[in-house]
Amino acid sequence: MSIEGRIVRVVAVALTAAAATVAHSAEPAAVAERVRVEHVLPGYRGLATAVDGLQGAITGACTTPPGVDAHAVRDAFDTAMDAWQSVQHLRHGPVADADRHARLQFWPDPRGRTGQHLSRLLREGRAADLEPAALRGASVAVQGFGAVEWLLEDGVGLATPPFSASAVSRCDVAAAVVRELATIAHALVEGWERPAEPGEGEARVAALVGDLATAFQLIEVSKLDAVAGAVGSRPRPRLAESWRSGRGLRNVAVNLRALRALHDLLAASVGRADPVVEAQFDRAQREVRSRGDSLVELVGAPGGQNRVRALASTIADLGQLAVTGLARGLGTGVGFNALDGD
Amino acid sequence: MPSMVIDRRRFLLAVGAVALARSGRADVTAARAAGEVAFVTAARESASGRFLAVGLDVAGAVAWSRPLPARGHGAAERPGHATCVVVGRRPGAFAMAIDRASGEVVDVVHPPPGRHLYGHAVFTADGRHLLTTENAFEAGHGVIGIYDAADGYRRVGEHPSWGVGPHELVLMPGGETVAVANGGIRTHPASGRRKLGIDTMSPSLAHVELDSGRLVARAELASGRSRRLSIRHLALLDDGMVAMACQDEGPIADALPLVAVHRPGWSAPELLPMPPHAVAALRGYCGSVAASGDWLVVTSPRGGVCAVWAVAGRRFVGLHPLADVCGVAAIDGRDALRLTNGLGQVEDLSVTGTPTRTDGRRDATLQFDNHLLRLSSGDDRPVAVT
Repeated sequence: MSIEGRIVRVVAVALTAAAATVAHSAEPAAVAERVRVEHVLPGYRGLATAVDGLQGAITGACTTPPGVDAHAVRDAFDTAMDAWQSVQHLRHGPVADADRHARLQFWPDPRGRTGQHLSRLLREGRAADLEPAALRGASVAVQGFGAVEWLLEDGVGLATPPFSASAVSRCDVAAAVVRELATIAHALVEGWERPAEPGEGEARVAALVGDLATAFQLIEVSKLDAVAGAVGSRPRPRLAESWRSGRGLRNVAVNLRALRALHDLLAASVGRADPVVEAQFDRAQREVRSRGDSLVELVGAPGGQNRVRALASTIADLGQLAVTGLARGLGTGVGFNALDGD
Repeated sequence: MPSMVIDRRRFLLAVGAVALARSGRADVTAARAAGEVAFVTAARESASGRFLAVGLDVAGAVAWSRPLPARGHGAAERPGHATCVVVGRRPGAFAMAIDRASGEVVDVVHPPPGRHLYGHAVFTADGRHLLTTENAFEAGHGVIGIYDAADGYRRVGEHPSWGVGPHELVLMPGGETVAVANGGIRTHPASGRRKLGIDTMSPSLAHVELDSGRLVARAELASGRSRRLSIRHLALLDDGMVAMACQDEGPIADALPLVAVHRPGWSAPELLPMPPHAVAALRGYCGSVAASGDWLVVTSPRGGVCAVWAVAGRRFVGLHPLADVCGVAAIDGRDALRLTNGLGQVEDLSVTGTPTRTDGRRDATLQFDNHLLRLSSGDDRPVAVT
């Protein structure tokens, strides 16, 4: 069974057990509204602001003479990536429209499509290929944070001249990709400014709990276990998220902060501050912080594979505890099909 | 192995009747009376956790609900009779034959000792025999159980499914063969729902002749990584092509497209095109598949999305989000399919152009389970010829 299958099964058993003891202690519409105002909107506003900052930094770096130094671009990228990692777990609502989630970040990319497609774009692309409609219709591999990271961190440098006089430059591509990121980020803010329709509350709460469950699974399975590799085989550092910028663990640290904030809001709505879940959050966050920013470094060090697996296991336990507790408290039908299918 | 001989002539007559009856399909929307039971699905009652079989009317409202002894899964319609069968989920110990109009239980089907149900069934074209996918769990091979609906669903024989872990099966046009999705994964009731032998799994689509139990054709996905795609759910397209939706038991960092089509005679299934972000969005898991005309819709409850293709042109149409979506079925004579999910929602997905959802309805007291069966209506109801 795949790792994902195993986890899904564990959560499913817990949820089935939880289903019998449903306690409706909060109005779902009120819970959803509180999460919208205190978690979702601030998260997307932060993303929009940070992406605007990245756009400014890239414009500065691409102006002759450069208006900002290279460190400023990397700092702006880190700020924007932190902002994205704070909302990456949200998969319902406006981000589900028009493939926005995939266009914000295409990952995992085990076949290296980002590099292939961007290299081709730099060789053969023309200005028209970077127009908003053209870029939106292009492969998601040339859009989003993965593309920006490749352009900044593949070792060639943003300011490298284009292949030919008619070709697009790295600066052109980076500016266009970040422009689309900004368009999406601002659309998400706008999309969430409207309160939920009456009667939407329960579906939104279920979607939030589902997003939370998916996010824990994503960290455990894709961000960590896949990088550790199968037992007895070599690690696979290039499967790490953000391996080029060496911030795989920093992403996980940011994710956990955001997931904890969402969990605590949902838990508070039903008056359930579960000390066991809080302690497990503390433990997982401490463990991630103690390992630095770079997952590539960690997994390549002696004993690194087992450290990464241990971290994955800590996060799997946390996800199970957190999601089960919420599903019981909120009484959502989350995961009836998703978590225990056939 | 015990087997059963089905009268070939009776099959051919039945096929003709079905083909004739189907020709009037485009007009049948009007023929459906308001309140007529048009869909059947398994469900769970949110408050009590009880498992149910549920009949839904044309508008998606609950017409009847009937408690099940355990969680249900797929359902089958009996041609020429007002009966449908809801099958227990793996490892299933029951299937309930239910009157489609009233929801009254007509009969209960029990697999024999040493066999459990895998959750799906189909009737022969004459409506006489119920065919179920089953696990001969001590030997570990799949079988097609045969039950005589005219004799209280007495077990009258079985055929090999020619593979391990058979799941959904469909009756092929002509009615002489069934196509069976052998998921390739061994399970045993003593290990609960745990999957055994992933490392040696060998999924296949098998065409089995009902007269003889003979393997007419077997299609396998290419070797290597795609052997980890467990073929689970099937839909029959109008032209006799079989669409198959898979579940990925391989490493998720190396995700593969999950949907393929196959026509008898082809040596291997053909994977339908999917852009990488759509592959990722399915999260390695398809829950159900249905076809309407040339449109094919696959649901992924784990991804909270439906994926749509126009099959003839092998064109990927797009994704549409719906939380915990799984049930999907054609709607009479429209370019739309009906969806159900674990939140009790019943929605219609329009598939021409960008997939969009029309306003549906929600029954918050229910969680709809994996599969939605469209019942045929008035004019296109399959007529059994016996």
